[in-house]
Amino acid sequence: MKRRGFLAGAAATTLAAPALGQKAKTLIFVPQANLTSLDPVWTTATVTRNFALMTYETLYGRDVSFNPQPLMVQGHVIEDDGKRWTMKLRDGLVWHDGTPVLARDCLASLQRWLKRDAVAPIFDARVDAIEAPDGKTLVWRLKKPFPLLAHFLSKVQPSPVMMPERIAASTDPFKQVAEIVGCGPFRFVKEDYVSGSFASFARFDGYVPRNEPASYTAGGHKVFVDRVEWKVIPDPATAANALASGEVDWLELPQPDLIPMLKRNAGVTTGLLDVFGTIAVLRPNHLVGPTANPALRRAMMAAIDQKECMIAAMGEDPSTWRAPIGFLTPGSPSATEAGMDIVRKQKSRDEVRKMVQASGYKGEKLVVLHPTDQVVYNAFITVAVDALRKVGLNIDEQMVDWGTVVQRRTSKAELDKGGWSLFPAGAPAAEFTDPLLSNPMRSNGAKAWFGWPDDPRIEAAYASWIDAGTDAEKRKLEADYQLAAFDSVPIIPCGQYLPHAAWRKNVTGLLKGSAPVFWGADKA
Amino acid sequence: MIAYALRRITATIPVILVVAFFVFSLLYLAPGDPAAVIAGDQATPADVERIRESLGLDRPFLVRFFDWLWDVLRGDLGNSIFTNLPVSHMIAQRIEPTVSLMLLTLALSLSFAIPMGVIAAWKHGTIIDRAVMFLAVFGFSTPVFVIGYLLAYVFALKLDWLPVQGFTSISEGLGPFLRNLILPAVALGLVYMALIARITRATMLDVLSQDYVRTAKAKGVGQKGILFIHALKNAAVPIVTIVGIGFAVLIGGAVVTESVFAIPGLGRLTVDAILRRDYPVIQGVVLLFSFTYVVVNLIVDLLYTLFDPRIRY
Repeated sequence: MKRRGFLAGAAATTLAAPALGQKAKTLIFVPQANLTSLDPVWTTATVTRNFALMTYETLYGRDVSFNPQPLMVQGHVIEDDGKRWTMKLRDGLVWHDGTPVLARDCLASLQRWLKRDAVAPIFDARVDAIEAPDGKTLVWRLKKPFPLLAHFLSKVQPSPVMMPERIAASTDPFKQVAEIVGCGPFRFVKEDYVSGSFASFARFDGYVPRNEPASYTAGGHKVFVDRVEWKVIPDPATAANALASGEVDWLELPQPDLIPMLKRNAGVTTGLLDVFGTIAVLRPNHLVGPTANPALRRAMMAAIDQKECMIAAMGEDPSTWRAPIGFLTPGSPSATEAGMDIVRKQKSRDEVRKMVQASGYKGEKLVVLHPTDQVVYNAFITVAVDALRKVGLNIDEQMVDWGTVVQRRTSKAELDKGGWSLFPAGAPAAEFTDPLLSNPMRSNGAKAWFGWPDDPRIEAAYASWIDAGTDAEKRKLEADYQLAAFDSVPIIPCGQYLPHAAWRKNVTGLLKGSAPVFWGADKA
Repeated sequence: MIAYALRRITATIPVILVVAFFVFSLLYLAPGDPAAVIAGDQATPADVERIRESLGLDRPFLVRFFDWLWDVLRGDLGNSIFTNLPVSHMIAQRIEPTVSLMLLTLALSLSFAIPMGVIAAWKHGTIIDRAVMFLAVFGFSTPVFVIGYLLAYVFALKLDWLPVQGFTSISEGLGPFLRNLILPAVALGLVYMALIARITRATMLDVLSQDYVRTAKAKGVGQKGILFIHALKNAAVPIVTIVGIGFAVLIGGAVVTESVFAIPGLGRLTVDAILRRDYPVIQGVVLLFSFTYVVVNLIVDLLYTLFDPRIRY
């Protein structure tokens, strides 16, 4: 018998099962969307990210202040003037199939991830080789110092999750893995899975948590329930009723207008768990049509009152949104005051009309893709389109579903041939906490996200920020970055929304972060 | 009649083929791209293209259609683009809730609607007739989701008699099974009940004015005998027809009902698949629904001979 096979059998006997006569403690969770795909490298779906946080682990976790912290690794040693990082895996790591976690598993997982993640060019420019000289050691040989390496390895969406070499090395990163084997604190119960309805996770007793207190994805992932069940309830009112009647324990994303009803229920607590929330943006097309004109984009940004957008989306309760915002998440170390007066001092409609006229706009049509099946987007784009019409823009508002937006936004065609001018989007505010991760802000022309902004100033600030040595240098680059963004308007910020979660009063220990995590959670 | 039934079943094949081609063409023409949904916001156009290639979505329309058709003829409905699970497996997971919901709805509707229609016709022009017709109009004009929310509010939240949502398999006991399904079946059944009650009343009124009914009355046949033995049997053909046609209403209503009561059935599977452009799943489910519809109508045709011996095939 091979050693790995023996260990597999031994560990399988330790899978979570409550003792005879003892009732299993089950936490029933309603996720924000249906769990359709189980491979977080293959898709960037948020619900798949949340699934990955339960079953998989990353080399580094991220605390609630967004600092990377060792998770699967004990730590690292930096040598050779910053050009060699040596990481040691911590003791006791075991895959859900019972085999031990080895460095070569991590190497194969990193290689698969780097073929899919948008940060790959950053790694290509800095990493010479990744090696696994023994079962516990990963060595990064770098072309130049890469102080943010741990920062990238703690990414949450899409995250560099680890899986056994036999799966990672044999699965094309453009295809889904066929088997879910992680080393996280919960084991996915494949037999229970019904896509669109139900998924369950058993506590993995082979998991050895770290000793540090848990903070978002970092620290000790201590599990206090035997089982977590995800119950997909697509109708928001039904989900709220199910929580009110005690049929489920935790709603990740109750619809904002149902929060007052839930607050009145004595058995329910509502509150902010996702302390970062989501940045709401409108994406103008920088290549085609009137929005290719930066002066018109500036006028459009001035026309839109972010507060009105957020009230439409989230309601009057100011604890559920922040507006106006700039291009970096408010409250993060990178947030800067540079240029903020542009959005803080709302211009009158006449002033904006003059800006529109001065831009050379002659009443050409703008095609707005308005997804009606996305509650928040539908609300804020309705307000935005109204504001744009009132300052004299000729808007062709096309009501579509989100699937259509996702397809049509890839088109670079002229507006009369299926092209577009503007669509709404939301990105986790955690991605806007520094210039590195916010994909919609990249302004590298044809390689940029749909809309294809091209602004060398933003790109220069981005490239310099990665290698910036001091905090002062970073603050200067962040100010440059934001000022350039106010000038070229790669996106039009519409506010930061902070949706509240809701849970039964007997559920305790829920952690704050930009994704729901289940370690620390307990149920009386 | 067996030869007729076999002929009809054979005739369903071209119907199913036409439906399959129509659905495939619609999906091909409709905007939306599953590769872009999978790739997500971080993806480059090259990534989206590679995913499209790996899913075979870059191949010409006819090649994709005939490949799919060949697989279907061999009993393989393909795999879901998103879950990578076989479509037949996903349908098998979802069929019990939908079939259970439909059968219970059918049973409830028929057992209430036919007596209501018969009584309304018998008491034509009275307050009972008006009350039945009011209920029928109410049931027909109130959307399924409104009835669903009202029922859930009263019987689940306020009275705490029944659960708000979910489905329990009959294998876990008849009690839990019915507890979960009773509200959805009533919500879905109201529109169906209204339809059948109205048709039953109209047909019965027609039949009750026939000479043979007057003769039966003159011969001293009791009211119950006239209504349920002589009249109802002669009114059955249009009622059975509407039950068959109404099956499509039931399928449409099941989509909404399954969403409102979080029942993991085929209706929700269809909606989820459409929103994500999961083509193999949409094709598989539509094929199943159209086949079922054809079979239900065949059963209706065969039932005609039972109620009216003059009909021969």
